Amino acid sequence: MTFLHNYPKAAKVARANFIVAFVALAIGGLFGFIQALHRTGVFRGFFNSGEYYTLLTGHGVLLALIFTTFFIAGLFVWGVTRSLEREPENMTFTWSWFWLMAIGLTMTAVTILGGLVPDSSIRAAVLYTFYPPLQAHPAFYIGLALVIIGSWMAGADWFWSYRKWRKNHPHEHIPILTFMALFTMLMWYICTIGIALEVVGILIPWSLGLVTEIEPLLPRTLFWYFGHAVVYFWLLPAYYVWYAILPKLSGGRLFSDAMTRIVFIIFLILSTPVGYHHQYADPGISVGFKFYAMATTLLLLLPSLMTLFTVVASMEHGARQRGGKGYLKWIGKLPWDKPAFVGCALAGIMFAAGGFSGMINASMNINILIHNTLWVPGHFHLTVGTAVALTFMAISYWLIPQLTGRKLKYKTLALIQPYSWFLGMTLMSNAMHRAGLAGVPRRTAEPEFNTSSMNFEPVFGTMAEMQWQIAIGGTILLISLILFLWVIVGTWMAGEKSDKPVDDYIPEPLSGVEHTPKILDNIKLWVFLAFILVLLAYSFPLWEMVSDGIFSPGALPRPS
Amino acid sequence: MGDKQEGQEKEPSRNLVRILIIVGIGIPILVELLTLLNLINVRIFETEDHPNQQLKQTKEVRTYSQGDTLVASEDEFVLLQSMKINVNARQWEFEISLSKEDSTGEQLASVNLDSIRLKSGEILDAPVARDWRGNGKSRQSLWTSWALPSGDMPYTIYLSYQQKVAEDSVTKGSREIRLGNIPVRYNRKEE
Repeated sequence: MTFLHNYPKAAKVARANFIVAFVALAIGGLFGFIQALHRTGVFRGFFNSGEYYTLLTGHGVLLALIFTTFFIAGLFVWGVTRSLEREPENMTFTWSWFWLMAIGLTMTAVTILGGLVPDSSIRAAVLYTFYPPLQAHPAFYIGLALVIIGSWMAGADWFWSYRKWRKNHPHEHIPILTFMALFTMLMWYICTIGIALEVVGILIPWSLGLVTEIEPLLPRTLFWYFGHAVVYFWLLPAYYVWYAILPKLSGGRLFSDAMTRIVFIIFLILSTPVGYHHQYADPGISVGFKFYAMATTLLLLLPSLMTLFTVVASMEHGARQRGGKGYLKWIGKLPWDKPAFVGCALAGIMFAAGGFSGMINASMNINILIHNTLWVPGHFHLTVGTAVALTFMAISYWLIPQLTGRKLKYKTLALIQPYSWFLGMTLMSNAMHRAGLAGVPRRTAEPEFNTSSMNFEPVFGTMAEMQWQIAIGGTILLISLILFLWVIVGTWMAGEKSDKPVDDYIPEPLSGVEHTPKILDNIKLWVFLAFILVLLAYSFPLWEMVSDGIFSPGALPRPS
Repeated sequence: MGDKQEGQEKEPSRNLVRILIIVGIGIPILVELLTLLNLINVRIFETEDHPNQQLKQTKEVRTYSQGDTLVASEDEFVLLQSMKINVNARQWEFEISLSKEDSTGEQLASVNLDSIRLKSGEILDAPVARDWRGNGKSRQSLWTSWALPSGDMPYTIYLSYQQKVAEDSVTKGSREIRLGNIPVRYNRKEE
């Protein structure tokens, strides 16, 4: 018996979320491929440069917000249900948050795709960051608001299950799969306060024409209050997989239950007061608060390095169980022929590389070297584009059989997929980083626009070589995406039915829950600390911005 | 692990796994190593200006932006009065206007805007023959525009002119003007 047979209602909800996630992944991925060819100038026949921004918005919103949010919802439905051993408490409530998010997604997607329809007045070419002065159709903002409200309800659903479980288990530790889901959602609740205020309080009234003037710094700041923490909302579910499932896929066990909880607690506390590191070049925010954001951002290296240690230790344990020996020779004993393992492991390696480039972004003094250049998308294609996306794709090879009761089909194609993603992303991201160092701007269909008197100067190599590297990498990524969708659709539609389509047993950690201090489960304490740090970072600057009126431009510039 | 329980679906061969590791992990490692070595080479073993040496040897070509003088003689001159790209959702349109002045108040020399060359190399002729307009002989202006092909940008404009050098003689010439920064204006009303 597998998850589908034990929890059929939850399996249906998880499947519905995954379907939406994969459709968003398909469309968003295709848009990314077109962008790669267009802005490198390799092929510009799909759309014109005006429509490029519609594609860019679609790529960002569909992948970074829709694919991730729906996949995470499906993953957490699976994890919470399984670890608490109970179906969702009220299926009407559960389906209502799913449909609310789906309606919101539809509204958002229609407004974005409207940009490709000639003479359409419904447009939303506002990029993933969607703050003023770019303005979208009101339905875009309302749709996003519905997605966020739906995600809040999803979190409430899991807390509801947890409270019911707690009544029957008053002295037990929160099961680790539920612990990680709840702490991720707590972080999500805190960080989405900013985007909710921005969308409901400013962008919707502004797009409806109810207000005509706004303080430009305020929505930017509220967006970035959310905009970096959302990275951890994507990343923590990848950690969820690396901690809970990857050790098992390696043939071993999680190294430490307590360490896992500490990592999630640190992310809850530190994820939100870091947003100013996206605003180093913004006047209006004093340099002291930017320094504070840099410090908290760099502190987040701590849980990332703890994760590196814990996950690698767990994998080493697994390899040694399979006969691995020596300091490094054990790596060869890992299951490099299993797509779920390969995808998660390669995603983890890519995340380390993304962490290194992220340190440059986070550092006030050297950020300016790469600010708003192609380096930045090069960086986040390593983190969200690979660490998160590849982990989600890889673990789908293990989860979808549990949710459909069908064995994985096309295992060879499934194995080629993560390797090809890793190859394609390395080529593309490497060239994007190098182009960024040469000053090539991001967020433009015309990177060489107005450069007749200014040539980009690569540190080494040529611009043409980088452009081709990006285009080839993007093409390999599209092929990899097609392989993934082919395997998933094939498995879903025609996989061999089985009561046990995959080995879904997750063993206990090496250092188990019996060694975990009780205080780590104290949700109120950690949320309180998180709010304190957020207040320290944001209360004074936000007060300055709104003290002369929420819609009144006029915050004083600050030295930056 | 569920390997044995995953049924009859064919498992990938060991050779395929080796190839995938070599291509899928080996090439990325090679790319990153080459990047690192090149960075070290440039930063440590080469002088600061070496990587850009080739660029510096390139002859600098003057570019013209709004307000620059395109053609000048003792008494008269032709200005690049304005240029911009109007963007709307359907197309990008390059718009340029020239003005000419003559301090003597006499008939101005004849100047024609012949064509533009795009970054792709494509040449667009002036769409409609336009006349110089003005409220006097001493100052006139000319305006014209082109719809740009998708993704292409103006690079050079071509002018031809006739200048009076004496009472009964003129000199003919042509100029290739390399354009500098062109402002872009998003025009929501045209949508």
